[in-house]
Formats: sequence, structure tokens, C-alpha cells
Amino acid sequence: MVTVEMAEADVVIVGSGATGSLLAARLGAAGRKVVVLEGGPPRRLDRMYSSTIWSRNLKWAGPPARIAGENPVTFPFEAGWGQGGSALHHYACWFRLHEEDFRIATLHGTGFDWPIEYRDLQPYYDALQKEVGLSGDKDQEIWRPPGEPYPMPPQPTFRQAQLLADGFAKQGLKTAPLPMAINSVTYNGRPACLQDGWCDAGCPTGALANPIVIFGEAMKKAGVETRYNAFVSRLLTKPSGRRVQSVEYFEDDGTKKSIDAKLVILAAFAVQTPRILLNSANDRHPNGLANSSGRVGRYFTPHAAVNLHGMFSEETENHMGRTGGQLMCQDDYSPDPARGFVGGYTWRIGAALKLADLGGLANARLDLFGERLKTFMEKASKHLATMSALIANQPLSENCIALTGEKDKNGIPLARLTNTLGPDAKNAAQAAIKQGLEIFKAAGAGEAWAAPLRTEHMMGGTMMGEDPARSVTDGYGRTHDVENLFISGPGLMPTVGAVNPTFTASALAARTADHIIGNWADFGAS
Amino acid sequence: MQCAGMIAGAFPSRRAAIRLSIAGTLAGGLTFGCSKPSPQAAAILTAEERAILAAVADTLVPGSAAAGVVDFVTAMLAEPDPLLCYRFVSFPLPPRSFYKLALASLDDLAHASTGKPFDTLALSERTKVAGKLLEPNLKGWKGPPAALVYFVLRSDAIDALYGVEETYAHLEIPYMAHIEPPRSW
Repeated sequence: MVTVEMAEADVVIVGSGATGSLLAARLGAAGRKVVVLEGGPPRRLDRMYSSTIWSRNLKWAGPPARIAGENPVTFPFEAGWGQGGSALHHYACWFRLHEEDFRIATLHGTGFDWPIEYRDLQPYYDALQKEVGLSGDKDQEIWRPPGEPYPMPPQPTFRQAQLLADGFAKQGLKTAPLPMAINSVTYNGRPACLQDGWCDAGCPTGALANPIVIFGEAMKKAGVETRYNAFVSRLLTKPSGRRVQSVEYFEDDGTKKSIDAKLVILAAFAVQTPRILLNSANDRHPNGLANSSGRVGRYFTPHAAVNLHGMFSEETENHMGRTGGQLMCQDDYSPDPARGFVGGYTWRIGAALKLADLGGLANARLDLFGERLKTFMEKASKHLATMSALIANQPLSENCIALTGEKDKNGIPLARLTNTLGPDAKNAAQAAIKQGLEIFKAAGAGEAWAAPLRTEHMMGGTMMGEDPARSVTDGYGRTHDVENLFISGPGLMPTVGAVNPTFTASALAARTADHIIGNWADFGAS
Repeated sequence: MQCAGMIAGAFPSRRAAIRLSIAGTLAGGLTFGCSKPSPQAAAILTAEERAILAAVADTLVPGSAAAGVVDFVTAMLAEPDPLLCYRFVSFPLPPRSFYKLALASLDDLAHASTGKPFDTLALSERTKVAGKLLEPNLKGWKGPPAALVYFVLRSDAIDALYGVEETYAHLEIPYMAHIEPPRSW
């Protein structure tokens, strides 16, 4: 039995994360009746406990995904659950993509070109960094593409970053403050960061820009309605198949409901968005909605990443700062294939560490246990320094999100995430490890080591492009096949660069919002 | 053998008990043990499973048994959505099933290696058996991937000991909570 709501929304947005909340605030302010369907619960800032155990409440708790491939994705750690989505526990490293990231295929003969260029996104990067509040130093960040200076000065550094910066300098490498969507000073009524490294547990003070503190009030003021524990299963089209008629979802108790909408935006992150599209197959869209290209779910592209650690004789203050790090280096960011791989990497230097959890001190040496682990923890808690290379990964068709034969409690097929890093990413990782160990040595570390290669972030799977036969959406996120259906989020990215994706996903969403508002008569007509 | 449940009962608060037990175990003064299970806990893990869990956790992370790893895991497994690191590994088994299978497989490994149950082994023998979990293609292993079992059980033990404020205090690392959790877990 489906409960069909009689009132039609102008816009239904699936997901209340970084881009869903942005779009809801923008479109609501433009006078549209917006309903957000959020699969998880509402969140309260005063329930964001400073605990590596309690922090897991913010991580994915929806239907499981099956994991395949040589380099599995830690999907439940990457994804969020509830209001704010993964941006509620993200580390707020807000980098811009570089100009060349938009033209990898033309420049280097691999991957894809974007249907837009950096200059199309630059105004949105510039405007968002003021709205959201970014700290950094444009002049020191010599690799950054053109744009306005950051509205806040950079964050402070602590001893481990200072030690490592010295190592970079001795190797002839430049470092700069890591740009962060975290207040370094009071900004827009939000306080400065306390530098206590609890970013992963959610930042209840509002110093770190999560969707609740950035867009919550605007959504409320605009009359946006958010329905929680409303897990979307399918989009139903009109008989022509050219327009979405309604959005079907399940409430926690299994009640199936449906809401009509003039326009629908899928902002359910890189796994659930293709899952919903594939589960929405019908007579007009036998391979899944908006999938005439066959590329829904294809070219799922996580970053590669590797953590390097070193032990110093002096204390490193590794408990201080931000989880995302303190400094950065992009001297080897260029995708120039002359080094033997396409795509480079960004060093994120000096992450604040907790003792436990996936990224905690104890996992800096996963092989240790017993008395050796105890000895390590006593030393590392005072003397360890860390940095990570975030590594570009070129899109591969075989890395994908597909439906399995297993179903969740509502009868929706589970997703399978397949990921194997390509040779470019693996070769870049080896280069980064070699360089990183030399940096630690130059910095004076007594010993240094690299952790196993891992993945980070989830992008691709619903890529944008000019050619409807080779992409899912156009440059604004509008699907080629369904005229009132848009996609938002990092799933749109045809290539992923070597930077954290939230700033770019947000800039894309802001551009989408402007496009929808400016063309509402075309998109919103029933 | 010191029992975490007995420790808890002897002090005015559980947190105070943990603080003392952590200080003791990190100083090398306590060994692993397990509390007397409540009927609810016993329905989640049997006494044998709890004993194996305490033993392996303390082998991997000394002090974790006294810090309450068995109570931690048991309490979490009673929840519909446990806040264990297991939630991050996307293994296609419900949490309770995974733990039961993992603990039984470890005990089988101990029997095969030493002829004795895991929790009755001396520390040196437990260390050898637990170390086998890191061997690729562990011969005779029939449970979930051995490396996954190692990771999950080690993570739980780390959570119980190093995921709580008392251990930060012991190591003299400022905890700096924005908002104190209402309890350790």
C-alpha cells in the first residue's frame, strides 16, 4: 500500500548533506516549495559527543553495501547517516580543483574532460568561501588556481606540522596552510576553532562548517520541509518517461509513501544516487533511470591515499589541531605523465590524532599487538607525526556501483561497490611514499613508515558530460534523459583530481541552483 | 584473575573503576578477566565466548579486558546498530553472527595449535596463536578472513581501553572534549 500525498512539491531533494542542504536553502529562498527527504534521523549539535566511539553515530547506518575489488572502499566510514550527511563528520579540507583537472583527457589522453572549465566554477568557489567561511593563505598556496583570497587568516600550526614543514623545506618542497572550512577567527557569528581535533565526531561549536550551521537557518527561514527517516527507493516517471512524476520512499516502520514533484534532485551521495536510479528502471528506462548511456554507476572513482608516520625524539603535540591536517604541499600535484603516472598528489600534513578509531594512533601500526603495541602507544601519543598523500585516481569503467540480488528491509536491492585502483594511482602512491619517507628523514624522524595503500572519498558513478551517450548529466547536473531530474554531489565528477571533493561538489551545487532558479519556467513546468 | 565486574562493584562509579583499572593494567598490575554476565548479555555471547573475547582482547591490547572490553562488545551487540568498528568493514554477516564465528574459529585455532581452549592458554601461547591471524592463507582457518578477525577484535580492544577519557588522562594527553559523552560507550 502506498500513501500518495496529494499536494505537489516544487522541488523534492533526496538527501540533506552538503549539496542537498545548499540546494534546499537556495531554492527555498527563491520561492520554491522544497521538500527534503532524508533517509536518516535529524541531528542535534548538542549530541555530538567528543568520543571516537560515539562519533560512529554519524556514520552510515542505512542498508549495507557489498564491497568488491582489490582496493575496497570503507563506504560506511565515508558516508554519513542523517541530517547533514557525511559533511557532518567531514574534515573540512576545502581545496579547489586545478584548471587542468577539468581537461585531463585533452591534456593527457586518459580519463575524461569535464563539460565545464575551472573558470565556470571559479565564481562559485569564490562566493562559497565567503558564505561558508574558509581559512587559508592564498599567497602561500602557490599552486591554487585564480580566485579571491580566503576570508579568514590561516589556522595555527603545532609542533608536528612545524617539524614536517622543515623536512619539506630541506627537500626543496614548499608548504602552505591547508585551506579549511573551519573558522580561524570568529566569523559570521560562529566561533573560532578550539584546535582539539574532534572534527570526526562532529563539531558542535559551529567552528567547522557543516550543513546544519551553514544552511540550517536559511532552510528554516525559506520554509523548507525536511522529512527524516524517509528512505527513497524509486523515482516514478510519467508515461512518456521524460519527466519524473513522483518520489517513492519508505518510513522507518516500513510505510511506503510517495510525493509528486515538479523537479527532483538526487543528492544522496555517490552510492545511493546510482542505487536509486538503477532501482527506478521501468519500461521507458529498462536499464535504470537516466541510464541510456549505460554509465549510471560506472566510473566510480575514489581517491587513493596513503598515510605516512614518523617518530620524533621531541614531543609533537599530535593531539592538537584539526583532523584534516595543518599544512599542505602540492608540488607534485600536476597530472603530467612524465613521471610515469597521470595525476599527482596533495600532501596533507599534521593531522590531529586521537588514540582510537580507524584513523587513530593505534592504527598507525596495525601489525602491532600485545606489549609492543602498549609500548608504541605510550611513545606515539607524545612523539608521532603524520601526513597523508591524497592521490589522483583515473576513472575506470570496471569500478562501479551495481545492484545485487540481495535486498534490504524494504525490498530494495543492495548496492555493490567495486573498486580496484588503476596503475596511475598505484604508481603515484609509490612515488609519494618514497618522497614522504625522505621528508620524514630530513625532518629528523628517528623512524618513519608508510601504512598500507587505502582509498578515500567516493566520487563518480553519475558523471556529467557533453555527450549523452557517454555521460549521465549535463554540466549543470541535469540528466540527459529525464528533463526534470538533476543530480548533485561528488558523483557528478568525471575526474577527481587529488583534493578533497566537498568544496567542488558544493560549488557545482551552487551553480546548479542558479541554473534551476534562472530557468524555472523550463524545468519546473509540470 | 581480576574480574572487571568485581572492580566495578567495589567503587562508587563505573568510570572511577575504569580509571583505576586502566591505571593498574597499563602499569602492568592486572590481568584479563570477565564480569558475570547478565541474562541479557549471556543471550548475546555465551560464557565461553565471553572468556575467549576477554582473553584475545587482552592478548592484543593489554589492559583491555580490565577496561571492560567484554561488556563493551556485549552492550554494543545488544544494539540494533552497534558502534563497533565492525560497522566499517562491510562484511556480509550480522554483527553477532560474525563475533560468534570469529571467536569459535579462534578457539578452534588454539585447539589445533596447542590442544587447549584459547582462554586457558598462557600469555605466551595466546600471543603465538593470536599472531597467526596475521599470516596470509592461514592453514586450517575456517572462519571469516583471519586478518579481518584480527582487525575487528583488536579495534574493539583498542576502543575499550584507548577510546575512553581515562586512558588519555593516564597517558597525560589532554582529552579536550567539546561535549563529554554521557558515558564511555
